[in-house]
Amino acid sequence: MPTNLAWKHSTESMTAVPPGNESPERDDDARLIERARAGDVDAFEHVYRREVGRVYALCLRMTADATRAREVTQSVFIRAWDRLGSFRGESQLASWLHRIAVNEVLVEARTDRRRRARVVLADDQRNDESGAQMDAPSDAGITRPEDSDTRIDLERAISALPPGARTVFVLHDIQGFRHEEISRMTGSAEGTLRAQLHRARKLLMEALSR
Amino acid sequence: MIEKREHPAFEVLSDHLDGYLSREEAAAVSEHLSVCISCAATYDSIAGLVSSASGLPQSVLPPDDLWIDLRKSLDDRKEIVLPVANGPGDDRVGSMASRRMSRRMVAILAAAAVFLIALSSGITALVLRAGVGNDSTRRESNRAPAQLAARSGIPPAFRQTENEFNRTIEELQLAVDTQRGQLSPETIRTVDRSLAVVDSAIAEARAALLADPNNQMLVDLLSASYQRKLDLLRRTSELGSRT
Repeated sequence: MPTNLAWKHSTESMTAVPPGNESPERDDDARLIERARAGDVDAFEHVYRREVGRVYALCLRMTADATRAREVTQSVFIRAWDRLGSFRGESQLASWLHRIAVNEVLVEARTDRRRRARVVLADDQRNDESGAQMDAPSDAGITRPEDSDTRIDLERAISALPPGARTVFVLHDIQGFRHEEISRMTGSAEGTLRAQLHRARKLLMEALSR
Repeated sequence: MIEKREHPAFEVLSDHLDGYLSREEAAAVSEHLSVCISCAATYDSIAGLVSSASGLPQSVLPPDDLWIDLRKSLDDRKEIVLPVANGPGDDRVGSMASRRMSRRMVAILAAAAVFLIALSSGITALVLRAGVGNDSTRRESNRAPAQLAARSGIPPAFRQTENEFNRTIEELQLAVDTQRGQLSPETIRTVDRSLAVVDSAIAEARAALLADPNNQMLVDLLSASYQRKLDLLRRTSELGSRT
């Protein structure tokens, strides 16, 4: 269930930046990564501070749960720390972290589905198939920027989407990935992804027109 | 094929917006949209939604204390020696360098094995010492880990760390398994021996921790054993990718 969604948009990047199109920062990245590889946590903190907003936004939108988003974000940076040796600078640091984040969220979602399935088996009271119908998040904890009611309505509607449709909508319509790329990430067929995207758009339009 | 007079389905309009229709289909839909107010309104709504979604902020700040928790986790893992990539030419290291690396690697692995034997013995001594004069504790430490897990369990604070260790280990193990063919038989034997020693140390430390969940020293020992295994696999994986 989505809990305590807190949309505190950072001021440093309010505009959409598709992954891979960030401004060139490779020299800085290289220096920071070199120091972090040598065990310098302060250098890694610079990377964290610069990238955490984008990673957390992705995790929050895909999980629709602030607690899980926090855990997954933490895992993303721990994985990144562990894998610094494999980052060779061919892609930008932001894109590399982004790929780790998408993967972590998908792994977490699969684990969560298995956990829910076990709960359903153990306790026959639930007939909600893999938690597909989520309750709309409450207003508690939502910080409303002054002029962005529509944006907040959209964020809330996205968080109330069924998980599969939400994942595809976030990756396709917010993050800007094509279906073939999402297919590679999720292992789902492109036809399935397109159907999920149509479903998400239809549900969102219905939710926003109420 | 979409007939010009036929109202396109929502899915077709959605695909049209994304550019996933064939040229002929797109032309038919465009022509229909130019004469059908209802479909044009639906199409505009989808376009508006997609435009709003792409304009959502790409950055959302997490709670302030996330870094504090993360830093603590990183400090715990700091002992892990990370391999340093030397650049794009890495994959083409000459055979001479590879052989030199292999010999150094074998020496490192042998040292790691000795260290782990000492570590493993230390855990045994620690557990036995804690159990002197207390038969029930000794009986507990001799039980199978699964039985002990049912009775006590790994401390919750360490559970997430252990899961993270296991996931990384699983990935590295997969990488090492795929690279085995590129390593010399001598290196493979040493790696396997060292891994067996590490696994035994992990099992022993884990069993001891299950019997005594509040013992921080056992948490540290188990953590050190996991880190050693990670280090071993990472170095082996790096060696495999260089040869």
